[in-house]
Amino acid sequence: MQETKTIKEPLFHIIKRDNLSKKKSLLIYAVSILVAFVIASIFCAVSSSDGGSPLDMFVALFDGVFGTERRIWLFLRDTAILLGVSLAIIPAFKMKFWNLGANGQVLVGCLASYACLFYTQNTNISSVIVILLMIVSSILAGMIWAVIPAIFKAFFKTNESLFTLMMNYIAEGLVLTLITIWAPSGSGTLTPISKNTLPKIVNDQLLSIIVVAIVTVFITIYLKKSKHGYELAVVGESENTAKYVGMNVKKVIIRTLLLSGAICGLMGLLLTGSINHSVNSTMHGGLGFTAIMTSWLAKFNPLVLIGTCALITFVSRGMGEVRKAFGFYNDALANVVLGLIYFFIIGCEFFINYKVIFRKKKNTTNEKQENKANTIKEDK
Amino acid sequence: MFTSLLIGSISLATVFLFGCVGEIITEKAGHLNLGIPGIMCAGTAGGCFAVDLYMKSNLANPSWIMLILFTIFMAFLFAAIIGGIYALLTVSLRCNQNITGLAITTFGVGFTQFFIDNYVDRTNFDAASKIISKSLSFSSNLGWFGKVFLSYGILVYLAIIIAILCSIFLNKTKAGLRLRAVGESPATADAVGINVTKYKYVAILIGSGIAGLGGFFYIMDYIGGSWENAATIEALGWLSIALVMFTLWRPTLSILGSIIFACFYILAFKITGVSFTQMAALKLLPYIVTIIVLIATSIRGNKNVQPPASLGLNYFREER
Amino acid sequence: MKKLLTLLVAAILAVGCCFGLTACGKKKAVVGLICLHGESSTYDKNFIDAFKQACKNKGLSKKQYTIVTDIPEDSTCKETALDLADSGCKAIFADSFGHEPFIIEVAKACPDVQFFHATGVNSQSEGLNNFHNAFASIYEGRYLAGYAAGLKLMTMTDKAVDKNFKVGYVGAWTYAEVISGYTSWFLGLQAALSDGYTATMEVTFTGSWYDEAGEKSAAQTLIDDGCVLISQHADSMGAPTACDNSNVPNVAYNGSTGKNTLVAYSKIDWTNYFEKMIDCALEGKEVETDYCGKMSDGYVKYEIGPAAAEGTADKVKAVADELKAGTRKVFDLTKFTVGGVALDATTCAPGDATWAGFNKAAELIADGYYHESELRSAPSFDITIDGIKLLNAVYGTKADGTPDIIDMTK
Repeated sequence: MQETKTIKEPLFHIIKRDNLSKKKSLLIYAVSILVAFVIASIFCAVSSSDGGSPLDMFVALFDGVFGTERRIWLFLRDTAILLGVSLAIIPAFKMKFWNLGANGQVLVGCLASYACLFYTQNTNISSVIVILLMIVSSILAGMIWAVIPAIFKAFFKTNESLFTLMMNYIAEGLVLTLITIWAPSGSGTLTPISKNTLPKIVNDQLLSIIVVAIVTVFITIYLKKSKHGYELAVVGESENTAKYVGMNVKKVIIRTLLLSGAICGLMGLLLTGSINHSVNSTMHGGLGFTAIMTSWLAKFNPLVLIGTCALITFVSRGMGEVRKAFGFYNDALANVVLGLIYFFIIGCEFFINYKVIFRKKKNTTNEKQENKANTIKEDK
Repeated sequence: MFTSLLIGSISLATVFLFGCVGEIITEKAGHLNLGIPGIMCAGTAGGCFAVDLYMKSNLANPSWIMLILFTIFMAFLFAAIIGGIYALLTVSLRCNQNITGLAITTFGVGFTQFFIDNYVDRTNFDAASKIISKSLSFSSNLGWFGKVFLSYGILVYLAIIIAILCSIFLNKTKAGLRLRAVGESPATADAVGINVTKYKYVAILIGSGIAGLGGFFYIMDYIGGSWENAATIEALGWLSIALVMFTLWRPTLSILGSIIFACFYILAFKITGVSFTQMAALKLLPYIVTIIVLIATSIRGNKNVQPPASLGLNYFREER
Repeated sequence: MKKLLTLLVAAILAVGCCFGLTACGKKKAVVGLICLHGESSTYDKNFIDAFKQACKNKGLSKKQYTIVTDIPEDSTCKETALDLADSGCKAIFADSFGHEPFIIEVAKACPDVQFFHATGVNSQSEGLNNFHNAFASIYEGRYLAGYAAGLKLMTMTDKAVDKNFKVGYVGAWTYAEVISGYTSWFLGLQAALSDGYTATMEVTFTGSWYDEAGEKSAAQTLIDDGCVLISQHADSMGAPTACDNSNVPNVAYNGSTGKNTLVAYSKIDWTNYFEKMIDCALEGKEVETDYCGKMSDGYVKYEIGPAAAEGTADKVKAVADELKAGTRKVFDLTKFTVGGVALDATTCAPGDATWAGFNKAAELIADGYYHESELRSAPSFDITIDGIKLLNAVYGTKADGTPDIIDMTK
């Protein structure tokens, strides 16, 4: 028997969508990014003391990234490095291991590379050997830095977020301590060493791009086609399921983080051995955190990742030019704009994942029942 | 030396404590808010704005209580607004909490830098700072006890009181129990009739407001009213988040944890008779100690030290 | 409808790309400034303000100069400098010590562009005709600030122990720029003492140019150790705040702290040098390879603060005039000793290793004074004189037992 008191249907309610077609998703993303840019450009124009129109921001953005050949190469290189770090953390995140320590893992890779350069600079050891030493030591350093939290998580369920976060600070402190030993006369800055560095291919940027391209292919195959990739996905879904199926969960965790750390170490090698030829405590450039953004936006798909890394790099490099054009003399506005763009991209996720259904004005009981039946069907 | 270390630690610990307690409340509701560094900066923006407004009209005769109340209110407000953006995105729009938090941090830091640099008049900051950090005048007459326990500004005591109140709220009140239920299993809480959305929103807003006070305290009390950039507050904010885990989601423990952490943080600058390299190495202490405690507690395997079960997961009722 | 939207988005992106490619050189900047941080750092703000002022003085429009901020001391600096050269800059200035090697690399690659670098030490040894170092005789400014501090001490004779004042200094790094800074400050302070009063100084290093909590704690350590007046060479307000809280007089650098405990501060004014740079860019006027701006040319400024003793301004001005005239020398060899004896070129040579290829002890230690900033613009005095105690950079001794420069690892 129906209740005499009718329960009012809410004004709107939210249901989860079935997978939206890729085209529709892409469109929603593109529109929201565009809206974010428009708002940001108005904001820039309004708050600049130098004056300028909102259109100037777009011009500056594109000019800053694509304006000269050198800028295009740097854009590609920076995208590549960010892509590399993102690829490093994807296996860990897919396994639901929150590797917040990519900054530190990259940094120890830088450190190991510089150590090789520093201690061989006054010897006659051949470049080939030094370079091999650099490659091995940076990858090893990254692996060690990542596997320590992994071991404790595997055996004692130690919270990996906090552990990896602390390892970041320790890596930075380690760099500062070693700088007091390595920097001439205690000035706190290291001299870049040009002897025995990684070879220049065509220009300073191409090597990094090539290395990361190879890593991209490797990780894509690793995650999609290899047994390891399958195993880490299962562990990520449910550790219990993995155990029942007979997987050695501890081994999977440790193995995945070794991979994560190895790739971070490789990025450190590129940063020091190829690009900067020195090391400082902020050489990681916060890539470890930006990579979390790009990886999540790409839904852990390595190929989509190329796009998200390119977008984020585009904005951050472009904002450098915007700053010059509008006369802003610190990075405050760049962060505001970046944050705004993030909000819009993140917010539009909602419209991709969920559908808002508004209450119809006049509803017969039949229609109400039909709606209920529809929502139940869609949920399944 | 030990006394000075203790006093310096308690002072710095206040920044961590505000951020930590704010994040605990948010995490108890099931939301990991990595935006706390940005929210603490926003609190700074609000509080500094309030200082500017108040001191302009009351320069001749500023009232301690009015200044304190007004600035705390504005700091709380600004921080809660930014926290509100986080809440909107993660509670209503069900966006991923981690990246929303990171976006909030980026935005909050930039916003604060921009706002204070361009819209806040800082000429009266020094005078305001003196008022806000004023401590009991007779504390210096009470020797060691006075120095260590009574020589701080009101905000230090406020942080400790808030931590204790938060602990009582979470453990001894019905609303606190409900909040914890929301954080442990929102589906169950929903089924029992608790308004999950409301509890989450309120927890996030209040937690953000409290964290914002930490940033404000840092500028107006700890560093004497000098504003240069938001980067330091952001850095301390990240450490506050780490401290939440370090102190096992217990507000009263976070009082002690903040002080111990702050102590190790400034230890390198208090020790003399070491070489420059050794001093640089000493700066690693707080992080190494944190890791040791982390490993020790996880080896002991205490079930009570786990985070709220649904931490990081957004609640969507239809998925139940 | 959706197809239309997609088309629209694609069109906008295409237009944008066109903009980018055709919008090269929108800003025809002729001179550029590269900063380590931005306006929110007092160090860079000093350069930015002077640069803007110089551009204004020379009548440059906003389109003709550009300031790039947040350029770290790595290859970003190289890329930025190359980028500025690409866009047509004729003169580029970098403001941080660690920028130097990267700027030198770019200078070699772009011989038609002039490059300028503050605080650097390699322009003379590199011998390029388009790379210039610059600094100012800030040691004179510090000497005067120290003199003001000494005068202040003479009003606080109750704080002396056995007629000796203990003062403190918070330094960042253990190299010549900082050492020269605190030594000249200390010498100025001693010069102002009279009636048989003496002073000793304790120095603590923080290992960072900017660490608010660290500098505050370091200053507090010094105050707890009995220091009655503090100065610092570090960029945050940490040390002045600690001083203010304990009512200890403070001498600052780069700008006023705005606090009542401020005795004096000194700073470098770069405006004149930037004007030289603009002349070089616009008219091709030559600039010295290594230039040290003098106080008499307006490069070194000082101000007396609210906490200074009465009559300080006049007395300090008199000393400043002596320095300008050359009748008084900051590093007068009769005014300090090292290991009990006067500094001597043969037994105690400066060891600042960044001064590549130089062993000019005989030229530096001559004529009765140490020739600071005369052979090269960047400070080179890195010897610990008697009366100064380093709290956390224990220094070693040479094989023959004579005091050595700071050995950071021992």
